Amino acid sequence: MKRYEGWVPLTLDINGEKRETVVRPADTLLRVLREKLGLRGTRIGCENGDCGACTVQVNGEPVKSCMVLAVEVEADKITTIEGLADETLKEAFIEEGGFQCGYCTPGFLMNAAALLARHPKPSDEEIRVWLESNLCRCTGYEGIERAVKRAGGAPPQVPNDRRD
Amino acid sequence: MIHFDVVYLRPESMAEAVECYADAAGRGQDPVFYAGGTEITTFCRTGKVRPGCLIDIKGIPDCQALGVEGGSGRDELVFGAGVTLNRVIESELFAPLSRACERIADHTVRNRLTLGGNIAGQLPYREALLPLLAGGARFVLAGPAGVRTLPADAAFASRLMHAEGELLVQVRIDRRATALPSFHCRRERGGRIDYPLLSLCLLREGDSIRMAVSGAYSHPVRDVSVETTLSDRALSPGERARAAAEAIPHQFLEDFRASGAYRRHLFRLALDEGLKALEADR
Repeated sequence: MKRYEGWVPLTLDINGEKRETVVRPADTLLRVLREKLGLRGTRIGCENGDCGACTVQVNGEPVKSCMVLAVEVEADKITTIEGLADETLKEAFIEEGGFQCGYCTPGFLMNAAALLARHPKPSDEEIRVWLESNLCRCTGYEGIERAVKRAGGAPPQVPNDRRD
Repeated sequence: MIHFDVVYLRPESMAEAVECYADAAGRGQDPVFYAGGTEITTFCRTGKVRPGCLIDIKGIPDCQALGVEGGSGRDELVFGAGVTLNRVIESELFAPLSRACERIADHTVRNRLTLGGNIAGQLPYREALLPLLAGGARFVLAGPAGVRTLPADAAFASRLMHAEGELLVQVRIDRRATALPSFHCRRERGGRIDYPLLSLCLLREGDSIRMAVSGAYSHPVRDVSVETTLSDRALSPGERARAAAEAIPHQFLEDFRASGAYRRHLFRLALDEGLKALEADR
């Protein structure tokens, strides 16, 4: 049985590297990534599991890192936005205007990358079900949807606001 | 951020988990069993709960069971309490359970949120319970007095009726329940990602209708007296729905999301729709 109490040394597998740190068992993965390991691409949003800004991948599955304790994922493979290798998806976000202020973008990218890894050509329903886990307060959802479709092999689409 | 300290334990067996709880309780550490953590971490952050010890059940093989087991002359579907809702959904072992779970929280949260957490948590909705109550599931609990199995309607009466230090290990249901025609309907006020004003599950076994509902009341409800009304085929589906909505002996919730009268109205419409769907499925 594992037991963590007080300040404990912890080794996490993040973006393919072993990272050592010291945490309290109550520390969330989100806070450890940002405050202990300097991986600030993972955003702090609501810290309530609602907004998805803090989404990272654990063993390839998107999770909200504000709802996960760092000690829970000691044996898992964690991927953050700093380790996301999917250049096609990133390019698609740029080409399709998949962000405005950009604060929510890392969370959307991590979720969308997991979706595309599971469903390389996702249906509209799959995109909706997966991405409704994330909020964009700029409400740039159409561009995000176009970007995910494009990364999934759909042809480039003309946004509504650029139509004659 | 959780501002207070906790002790985190990860036992590897039911017996170890029960022992951990008793030990932590004996030390005055206010232990709780912990699975996906989605509710406990957020409640800790807001100060709604303040446990001193988290006993993570994810490493217990019995809590990760998911599949079909034979025994006692009948096949049973087995769902471990530590199985995430997305795994339950994707397994499609029990379609009504998949339908009920796929509208709980959102897809990313469901990668952590577990079946046991939804049943044993503090939120009033617990929609995973609906097909389990209607389908006559059994709950396996492990505690200081050993392991016991209770019918769902005895194990859950407005809350999980577990004793102090007792852990929900598994939910089991006869495989034949998967053959029953079913109907699920959910209504929200603020879009798909919202708590339900109403979540309804109907199962039909022969002429007998079984019903469980959540969101309309302070806790999930299965009411056998209403099921008698719903099963009365001398009446039309509309008449049965109206009679059941008037007869149900529970107070409809009144809150900022909806009035009790509106919830009753939604309940009647959903029953009408469900009864017609189940009639068409004969």
